[in-house]
Amino acid sequence: MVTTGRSSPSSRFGYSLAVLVAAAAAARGGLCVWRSPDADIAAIFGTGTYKTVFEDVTESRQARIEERLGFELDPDETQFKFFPVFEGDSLVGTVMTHAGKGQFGAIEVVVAVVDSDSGAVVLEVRIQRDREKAKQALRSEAFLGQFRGRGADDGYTVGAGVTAAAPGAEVASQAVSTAVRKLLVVYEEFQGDE
Amino acid sequence: MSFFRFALKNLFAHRTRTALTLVSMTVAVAVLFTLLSFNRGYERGLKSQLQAMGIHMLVVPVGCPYEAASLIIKGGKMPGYLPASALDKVREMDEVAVAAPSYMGGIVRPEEGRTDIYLGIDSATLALKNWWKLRGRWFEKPNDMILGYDVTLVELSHVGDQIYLPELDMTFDVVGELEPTGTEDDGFFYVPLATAQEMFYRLEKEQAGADSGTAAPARGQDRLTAISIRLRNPDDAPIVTPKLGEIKGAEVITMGELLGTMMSLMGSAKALLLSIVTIIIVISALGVLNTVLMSVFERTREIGVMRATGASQVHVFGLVWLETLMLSLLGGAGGLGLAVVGARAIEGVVKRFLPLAPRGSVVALEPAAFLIVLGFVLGIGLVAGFYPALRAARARPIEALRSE
Repeated sequence: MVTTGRSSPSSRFGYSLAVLVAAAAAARGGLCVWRSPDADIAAIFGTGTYKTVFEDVTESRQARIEERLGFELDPDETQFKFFPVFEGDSLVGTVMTHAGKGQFGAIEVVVAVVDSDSGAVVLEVRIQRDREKAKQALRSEAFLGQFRGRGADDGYTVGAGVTAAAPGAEVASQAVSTAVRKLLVVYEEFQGDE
Repeated sequence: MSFFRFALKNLFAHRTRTALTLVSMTVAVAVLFTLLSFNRGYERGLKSQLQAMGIHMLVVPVGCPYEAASLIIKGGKMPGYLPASALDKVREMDEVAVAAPSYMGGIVRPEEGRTDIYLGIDSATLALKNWWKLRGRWFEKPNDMILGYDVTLVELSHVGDQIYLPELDMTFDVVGELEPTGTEDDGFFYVPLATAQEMFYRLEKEQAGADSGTAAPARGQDRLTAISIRLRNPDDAPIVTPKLGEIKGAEVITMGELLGTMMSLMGSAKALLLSIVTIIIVISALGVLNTVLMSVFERTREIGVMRATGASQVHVFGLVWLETLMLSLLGGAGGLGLAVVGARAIEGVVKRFLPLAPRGSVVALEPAAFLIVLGFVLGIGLVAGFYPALRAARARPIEALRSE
């Protein structure tokens, strides 16, 4: 019997199905509160202060966001919250939060983004709440670090551009990945209106 | 011209002033009537909600139930439990229709600022809470879980999903979810009774292991945190209470006591609202007095003419007093109308300030409240109008005619 590195068609089908289900499930999540702003700012930016900006989702904005994402926003996502972080008078980044469905309950993600020549990119991703079995792996630098520097149009599919946090944690990993991409798209859409 | 039409004409002579006074009276009367109606309606609503719960009595471990609730929320160790044998004793009583045991425990998540509260129940709870609408199915396996409505929103989880409990490395299958009940039931993770007993037994055991000075807990299956009881006849509560009190380590809470506690909790909030209403009433009474008194001052010459042409002091007193009464009654009628029409809106505002508000309408528009408000309106009219009327009646015709 010859074995290769490639998985069988049936397992690939099963895997793709799981990722699709996870992506659809993650897309159902809503925005959430920022639970530990001071700790997150210290970890991401060192120092800084932040303010809260509320932005309403108009029909045209919603259509643009959904077209880029490829799935619909939650019915309760009628407003987005942005937390621009300042060091002195200088904007050093913007933080956003998202609650999405993981494998074992909700996963709340904190994403810090900065503007670059090619658009918004991820500065840092942190997880503020989850009840996943692979809790440590999901919060590890090995998993979350791979999002650093990514833009909205980069690959966000687990197994094709994003490595799962741990074997068996594909659904949770995809939930985090989808949340990151969603927040980047939302950020760019609102930035575009300014 | 009749006294009545004359008084009405005087009121309409200063429409803006009269209108403003009427508005203040209307608001005061509307708030007073709503509060009076609310008080009765609130008590009735609480009673009917408690009756609808189908629970007539609760058997809990001896001790302060508030302290126990606080400990559960903080994830602390309960000072005492009901022995499982208590359930058998309760079920042996002929008066008891349903006895539903439960075990409640909390797992604190400080980083999330919340506590997951697990409630272990058996099928008797379903018989007791027959108003529950369950999507999915009842427990069949030890790791089945039913989510309260609020939990489904927080965890974004529904029937078919799984919930993982990292503290005990346990995975639950969500087999059911409750439709909104509007009660604390919405906030629980429901698991089979034996599962909850075992979960918190293990947690305590681990805690006791970590702290060598603490004794190992009793077996989980031996412990309950409450038994909810429905009687065949609610009137049997006085017969059953002493029998339940004989169970060692048990304390009985009747729904009547619970209602009393809720009403006393509401008392302080109600006192605050009544204080505010009293201030509004005093201000509106002063407004009426001011309006009529100014009217008397402005009509000094007119009053002098009336007196000079034969009107007695009683006539003048009666005229001014009638004006005040009409002002009060018009404001009262407006206030009652406003209260009836806007009862729902006012109720929403009032409910926001009162704790433990029952579901549904808590405003009962009753004749007794109507009569009290009518008496209050007449009282304001009589008191506020007395001084201006007296002053007008005592005016000497010669001096009054001389005035500008």
